[in-house]
Amino acid sequence: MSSGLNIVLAIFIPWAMGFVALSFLFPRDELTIAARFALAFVVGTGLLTFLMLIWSLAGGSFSGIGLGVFISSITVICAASVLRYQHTLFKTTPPLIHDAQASHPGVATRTEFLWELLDIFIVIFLIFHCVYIFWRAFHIPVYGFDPLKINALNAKIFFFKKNIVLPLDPVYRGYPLHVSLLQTWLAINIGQWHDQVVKFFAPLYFAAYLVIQYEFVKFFMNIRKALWSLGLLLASNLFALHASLAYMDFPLMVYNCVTIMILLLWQSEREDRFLYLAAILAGMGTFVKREGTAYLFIYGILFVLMLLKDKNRNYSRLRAGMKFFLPCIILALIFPVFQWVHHTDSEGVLLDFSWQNLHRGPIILKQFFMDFFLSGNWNLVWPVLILRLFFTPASESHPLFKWLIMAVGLFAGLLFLLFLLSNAFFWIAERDTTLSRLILHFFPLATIAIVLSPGPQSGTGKAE
Amino acid sequence: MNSCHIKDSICHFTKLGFFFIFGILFVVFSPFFWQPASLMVRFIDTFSRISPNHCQYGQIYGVNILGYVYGGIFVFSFSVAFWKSRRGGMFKKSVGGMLHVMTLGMVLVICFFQVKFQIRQFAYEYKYFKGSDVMGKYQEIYKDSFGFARYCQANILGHKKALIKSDLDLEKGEGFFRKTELAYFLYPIDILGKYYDDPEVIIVYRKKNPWRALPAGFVAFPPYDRESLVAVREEAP
Repeated sequence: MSSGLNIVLAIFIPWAMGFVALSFLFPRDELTIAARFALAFVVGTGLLTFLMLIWSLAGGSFSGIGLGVFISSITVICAASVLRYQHTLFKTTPPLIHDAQASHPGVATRTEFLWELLDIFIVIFLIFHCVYIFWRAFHIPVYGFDPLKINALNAKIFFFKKNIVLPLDPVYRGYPLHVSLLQTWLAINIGQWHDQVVKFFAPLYFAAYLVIQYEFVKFFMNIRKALWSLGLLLASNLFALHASLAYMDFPLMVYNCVTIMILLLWQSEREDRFLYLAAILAGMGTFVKREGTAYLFIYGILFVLMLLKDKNRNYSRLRAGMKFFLPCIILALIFPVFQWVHHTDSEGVLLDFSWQNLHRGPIILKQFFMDFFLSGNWNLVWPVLILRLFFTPASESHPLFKWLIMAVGLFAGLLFLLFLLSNAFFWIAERDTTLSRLILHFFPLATIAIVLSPGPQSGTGKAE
Repeated sequence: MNSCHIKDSICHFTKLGFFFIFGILFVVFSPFFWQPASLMVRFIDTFSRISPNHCQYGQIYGVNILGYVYGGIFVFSFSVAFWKSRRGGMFKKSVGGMLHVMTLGMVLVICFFQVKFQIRQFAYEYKYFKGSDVMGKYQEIYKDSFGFARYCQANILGHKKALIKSDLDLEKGEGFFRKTELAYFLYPIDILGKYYDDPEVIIVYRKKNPWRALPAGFVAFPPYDRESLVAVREEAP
């Protein structure tokens, strides 16, 4: 019983931290309740692991109640500040008034009935997957090479040594510690190492991501399209499988895709708070897996392209650039500083810019083709996206469609260059253990792009 | 965006598409209503090669199952588009619409088979792990390494610096995987440090004549099996 309460508390504390952080950025009702709750978990877990790293950097130990008091007191102090800030804000500014969309009851046609039937199928499909994923995540302990070697072993060592001790093996020493520290946090809170409980955060990322994508698509399209995008997401074998495992790829996928979504929201709404949130999430992604750092280039390119589309003066662009790049670079530097302080040298990807590497091109392209179109990972989501791209007239496309396609193209291009110009080529030429997991990091963007097109409205009449 | 506009443009295709999808679903489902034919079970098995690194569909006569799916989509879509163009429709527009509807339809069909497989997997995992605690589950997943780690932990308590000896190459291949599993399960008995000079514990794992691997001054516990045992430094009197 007390162990159950401890687990709930271990999950509640980071969630509350995220909620408080979001309340600073979004003091009014700019986010829906569901989106706020889901984003709070994603932001909160990211903050928690950074604070644990800083605590360890400052010489703090994971034993006793020191860490708990540190984390809780920061949360409480920030919550008090938020309350005060919001109180002032409510007194000085009038409440936000939304233009309520009139509800038009759907016309009961035979086609509408078929669409509703499809919606029901998708809801059943989603419920089945949620039950299956939560059951697997809560009943099967940590297993598999990467989760054991890279995350759980680290976390177990941190838990028993009461501190962050980087692995001796130089190959694994440079891996970011987000997932390991989350597992350590759960173990600290329940007071013992439990191989099953330490992976409880995995399905919560899944649930949070589903809500965020649903709310995002609903904001730009309608409820039905939002539902379809989730259906396409769970139609993928690999996505559904990873949602119940303790790999680093799923959390990185969440941070990566939510960063892109928030950037797109900024592109559409031009509110600085979205820029800050995107920057924070991008920075947090660098602490989940090494690829997160490489993805900063993609966010940077997308953001600069968005700025160039802007008709503002150069000064405003520069200011916007600072608002995005500064927070994300500061967050991205925390772990390298930690490594530098601990004199840690690690073996990472080695770049090699020789012309001879060009012969790798056809092999990489072949593997890409096999993975995108002939594997059992993604159902037929990529072919559907290709059809959407070539057969839907530009005039009928949603303005965000081109940005999503550009993001997907940049991710694929980055992977291609990575395999072409580095020793990572081994992992695509000799092994099939890496590419699919890398594609998973941006796969959900394809499901969003597919539904951003003209199609049937929601029967509830809540179309935007 | 308005539903009438959409209705005009895709109404024909949706009707056709739905008939096609329900036709396929009927053909696919029907064997389950009376007998799970072995052919169908084998077909579902083509969806079973899932791994966290890469999921693969099976092959039929040496061709990836998605090859047949793409073939079916193309042949059907182009045939319908050709037929419609002869009746005055625009070929390109018809092909695009049909390819869309057909591919989305096949997404549903593949989903059905995946769910069918997942239900079977769910039932299997439930039965496999039912009533087991974490130890029991690990015993099922990592039979050899977990059992040996439990044996070591039953004999040696707390933080210890350990040296592992084995006939397996512990730096690559199977030996590397076994060492990783042991490192995780054994901790806080630490086999990851380079304790060649002053180990407190010697772990002999899958090595012929394990007693010969023990240096002087170490006393062995009753062995785990003929090739594995654990020994601890003999305390000075």
